[in-house]
Amino acid sequence: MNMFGVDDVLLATLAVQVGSAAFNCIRGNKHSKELAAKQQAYEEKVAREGIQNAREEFAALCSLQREIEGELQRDRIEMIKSNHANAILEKAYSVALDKWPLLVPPYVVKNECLLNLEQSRNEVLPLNCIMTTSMDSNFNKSIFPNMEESIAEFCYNYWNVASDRGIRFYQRAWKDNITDIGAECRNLHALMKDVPTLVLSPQVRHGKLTFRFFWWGVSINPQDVHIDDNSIFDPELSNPVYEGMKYSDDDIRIILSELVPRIEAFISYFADLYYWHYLKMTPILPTLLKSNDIVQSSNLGSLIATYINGMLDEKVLSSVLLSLYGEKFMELIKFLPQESQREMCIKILRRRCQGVCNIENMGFDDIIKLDLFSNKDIPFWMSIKDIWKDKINDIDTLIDILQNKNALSSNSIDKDKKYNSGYAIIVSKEQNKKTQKPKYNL
Amino acid sequence: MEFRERMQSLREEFQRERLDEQLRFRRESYELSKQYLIQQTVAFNESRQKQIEFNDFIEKYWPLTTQVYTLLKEQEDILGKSSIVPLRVLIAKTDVSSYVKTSPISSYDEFCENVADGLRNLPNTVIESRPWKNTCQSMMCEAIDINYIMQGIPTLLVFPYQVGDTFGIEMAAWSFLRGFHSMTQNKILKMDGMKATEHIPDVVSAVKAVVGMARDAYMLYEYHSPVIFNKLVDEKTLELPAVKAMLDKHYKDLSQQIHNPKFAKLCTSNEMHEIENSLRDTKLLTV
Repeated sequence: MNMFGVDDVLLATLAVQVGSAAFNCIRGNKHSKELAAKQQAYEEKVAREGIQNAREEFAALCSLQREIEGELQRDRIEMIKSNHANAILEKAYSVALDKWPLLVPPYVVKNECLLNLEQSRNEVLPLNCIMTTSMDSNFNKSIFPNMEESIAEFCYNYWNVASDRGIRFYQRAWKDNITDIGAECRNLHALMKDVPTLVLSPQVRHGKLTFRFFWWGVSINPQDVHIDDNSIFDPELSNPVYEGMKYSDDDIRIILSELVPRIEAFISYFADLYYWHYLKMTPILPTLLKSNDIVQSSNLGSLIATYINGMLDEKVLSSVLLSLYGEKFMELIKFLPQESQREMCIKILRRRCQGVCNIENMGFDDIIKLDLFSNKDIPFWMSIKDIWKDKINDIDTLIDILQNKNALSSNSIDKDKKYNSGYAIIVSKEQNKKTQKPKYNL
Repeated sequence: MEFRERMQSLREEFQRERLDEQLRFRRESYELSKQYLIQQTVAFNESRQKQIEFNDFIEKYWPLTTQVYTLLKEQEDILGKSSIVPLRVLIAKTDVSSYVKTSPISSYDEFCENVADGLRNLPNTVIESRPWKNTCQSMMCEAIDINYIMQGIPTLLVFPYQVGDTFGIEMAAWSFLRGFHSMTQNKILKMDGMKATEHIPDVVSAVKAVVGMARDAYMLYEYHSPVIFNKLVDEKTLELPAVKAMLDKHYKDLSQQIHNPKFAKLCTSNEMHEIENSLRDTKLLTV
């Protein structure tokens, strides 16, 4: 009994222990199954998501590839079309070259690189001047060759291409004596768009010798093309010139003596305009006019004044005016009569102070008192001393003040103009450097 | 669990990024290749155009017998040459230089040979025989055409011509430089009231004078050599007043120009001394 009692307790304890272990075991088993299921589900989800992602990724790549292929195809078609257009133009170009009327082809005129494609040269081209013969064979025989010879010589002497400004005068340059410039001019323009060119074509009509002229590339504006203007230059010869006229030696002498200098001046005007627009070089025609006695002295002054005023007209930019400060300005206006010189100076001074205060009606005496100038203006004031000899003391006083002014305390205009006027000085220095003789001054 | 989910979302984020990047890269490659192709086409078309131009030039504008190919090759050689490069003299075939009077042989040949004969003792010049294929029509244009190919090879072109009653010589010259400013063109001599074809020996003398003085200018400026033609010039040439005036003026200009600081700076004092002496020792006017 005792034994039984003890055993009973023991057994019961054991049974409880075993039972609880068994229970635990059952419970643990159930738990790990749940866990595995969850994990599987999760992994499945990840795998599914991975597959879905990969699908989407592939689809995105495919759609891009499709798009690109489509675009590539469009490009190819475009390319073929443009190649076609190019081939047509190429053919047209070779024929245009084939029929080119001058003895020097357009690409040589531009002096484009021969062996490599890079355009390394950024030199300023000379002005090209081309003269055609006329429809009148007597004129062509008696007047034309001598006229051309004299003009060519003039261009070599005063506008040599090897110097810093040049005119290329194409003497005897037409193939097969082309006389009909009318339509040919367009061909010249098409192939020499970017070359500054003046074409002159003499005609004898209604007892007069005149020149049709065409020009382009002379100003910075590429639209500045004059082949449709029907412009005519009349050298105003004192004797009539008839169609089919038989020229006597005297006729030839008189016509040439009047005609040649006027044509020379006419061409020089365009060259001046061209170099003024591109390099801000002051004109040399006024000097040539004075030294060569091209026009009668009575109207020479007013002609030159018109010319200079034209160059400095309202359209000229302020930056250009500033680049004229100092020496260059004097070079330009020394050709004007004294009164116009003063007017021009006032004009420039007003431009200099533009926007700062209302000076439209101010005269020299008021302007000089303005506290607007800085040491940058000294060259200008120095250069105009000769024009205002009577105010020389006032100018000197101003220059003294400007010299003493601290460069750092420059006023507002000065800040704006600082860069420009500094540049102007560099430009004028550069240009002085360029004024050199050709190497072979034979 | 949470940790794994975080990892997973990281992975997903990276994948999205990779995809975006891949798409962007492909688009970029396409755009780039398109641009490259356009550039290539432009360059190709440009090259085609130049080829057309060059064909055109060689076939229709090249006036000399010497082939363009020959000259382009010679030009390469000049770059590596250390000895003095002689001045190449080309006398144009004009109505004056190819005037045939009685002799059936080409008088153009005679003319070139006569000039060369008179200048055998003038060093550093090469006078070519009959360089022009056909008669030269426009001195201006043909000089530009020749310069187009020969710029960089020191060359002198001489064009004796007649306009009405005037005989003249036009010249074009250039040295090693390239570009517009490299070439000087000028009407260097004019003799009014002279029928050149009736005075061919005088024309030959005038051409010789032009060659002589051009040679001196070339050697002086490029190699700082003393001048020599002012001594070599023959008496017969000096009997022609216009030619003598041309030579006088030329050597006078040279004597002034050697004192230009730009030039003087390049010369050693010894060179300058020799140059000055050579200019003083002359048959011409001394300054």
